[in-house]
Amino acid sequence: MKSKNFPIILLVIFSLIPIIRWASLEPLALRFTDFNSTMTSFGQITGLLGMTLFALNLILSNRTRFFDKLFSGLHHFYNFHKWLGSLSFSLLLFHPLFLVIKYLSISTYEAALFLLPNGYNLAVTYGIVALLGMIILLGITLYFKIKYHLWRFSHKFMVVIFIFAILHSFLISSDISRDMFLRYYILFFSLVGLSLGSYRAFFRLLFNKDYEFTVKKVNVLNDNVLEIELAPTKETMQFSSGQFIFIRFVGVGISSEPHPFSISSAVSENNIKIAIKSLGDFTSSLGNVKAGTIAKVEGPFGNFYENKDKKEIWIAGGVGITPFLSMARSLKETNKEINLLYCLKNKNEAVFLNELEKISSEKKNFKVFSWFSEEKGFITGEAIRQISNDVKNMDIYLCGPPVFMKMLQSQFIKMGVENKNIYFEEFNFL
Amino acid sequence: MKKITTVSLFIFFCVVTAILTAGLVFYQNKKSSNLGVSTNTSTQKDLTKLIATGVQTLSLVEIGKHNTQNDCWLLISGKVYDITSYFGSHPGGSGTMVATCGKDATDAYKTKDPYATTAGNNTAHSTRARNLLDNYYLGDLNQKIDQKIIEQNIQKIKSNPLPPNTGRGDDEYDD
Repeated sequence: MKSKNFPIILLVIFSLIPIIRWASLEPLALRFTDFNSTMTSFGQITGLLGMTLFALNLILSNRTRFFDKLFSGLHHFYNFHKWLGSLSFSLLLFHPLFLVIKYLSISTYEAALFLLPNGYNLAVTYGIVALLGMIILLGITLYFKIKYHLWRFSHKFMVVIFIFAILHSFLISSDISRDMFLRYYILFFSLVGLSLGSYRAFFRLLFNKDYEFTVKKVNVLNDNVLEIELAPTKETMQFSSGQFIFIRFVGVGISSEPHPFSISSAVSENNIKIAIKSLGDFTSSLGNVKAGTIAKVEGPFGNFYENKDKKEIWIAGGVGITPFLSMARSLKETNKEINLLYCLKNKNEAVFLNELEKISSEKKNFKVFSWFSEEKGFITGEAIRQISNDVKNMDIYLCGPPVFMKMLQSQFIKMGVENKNIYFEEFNFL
Repeated sequence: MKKITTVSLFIFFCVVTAILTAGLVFYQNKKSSNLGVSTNTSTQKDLTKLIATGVQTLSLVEIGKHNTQNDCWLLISGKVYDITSYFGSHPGGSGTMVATCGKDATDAYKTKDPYATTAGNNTAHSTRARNLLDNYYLGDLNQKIDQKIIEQNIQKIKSNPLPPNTGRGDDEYDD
């Protein structure tokens, strides 16, 4: 619990500091004397908060193993980034609306002029450019489904928008320009946000921080499942089973943005393997990956497999078998009982079943079951109880399509399983 | 959070469209009006009121009496202004002005820093702000107040009205 709330607590502290400072600069009675000054004060608060949160969110554009741990999972981290971005955007949308009110009390013409860019006052114009840019880019992010690599490219320009926002907040006469503390506080967050944001968006590639691997072999397992084996070019990567990595393939016919994949090989091997089912544009284009293709790998991330001293059931839906493959392949002799349930449409899809059954025959406490939905219908919590004799008092690991995981989770909870005993791999966050 | 953002965006577009439409249409109809004449009457009232309350000269002592936001005089470069009616409209917020009520605000006005400290951002007010300030002019420091001056001031403003709003020379929106 503590670690889950920690980022929120930090966020509240970071955003309260400038507000408290702002409130102490002048007696609050003066800030809220009449309707106009109250609205202006709200305008200042929304601007100050929106800017602080924007800067913090740029810092949070960097997926790092530190954030992976701090947020207990990269998908929580990304959800937080999305949530914080929406919050900051909403605040900044209200920023000019609150400020325009005092001009409305002069005339609607004055108010209209305030909302339009003009050559006399660059500071305001920068602010308008920044807000318009945000409306366009975040409008795309929130309301239009465009191709992932196009969205990813467009989203990098949030950094450019942030530069306009910084220019606006420092050139305009305000409490930021009047008060040294506020000025340095906002300046500090702006510069950290700007440098980390532009590092992630534009300069990261120059530093070559990724592990480099070369595709050694591409195994076509069936019509739409591939297994790719990667050999480290220089240094090997340490990981634990159940973790995932971001891979960027450098080659013709493959889009060059990174995508997340669970590692499916054993931790003891130097080469890493990933299994891919062609679902979208990108995974389909992976047919162009050949032996010799360079793969840049970022990671490893995630802490899916807790490996507690408790009976376990692993439930895989389709290609969701990948983290369990790594876990099974890395399995040492244990005293705890582990059941793996591999859920698929039909036998043709069960590409890893033979290998898993072989591991099961070698390890006495590891049992493998399969479930074909074309024969028996969708898997249910009740069916799982029958297979494993019990569902309570054990750790349940789920990896598969989101609907599959949600449905089983709610059934398990109805059957009296505690939510903390259910673990998910949610790598569908992108 | 996405719902909140959607609602915010909706409100944003409604308000902006409404203000821009109303503001620009309004401008077409009332092109001839200007701020000068309308505030001029308030200055006239102020001076008439002054005479009625027995004020004879615009002395420092007299200025010092008008030191609240409900009654605020400023001394800027030897000229006395009654900015009480402008309080809510100041782009820098009313708070920045109240500190100088009843005092010599010359430095504060020049630096946009109410306390005229060295830490201020030291930016001067715009020409447009100066024009606006003229509307609140009462008279010079230690000047005697009489009916003639009131009429002179009115004549001055009438013969040299503020230009209609042709663009924004104002550089003091507040963030």
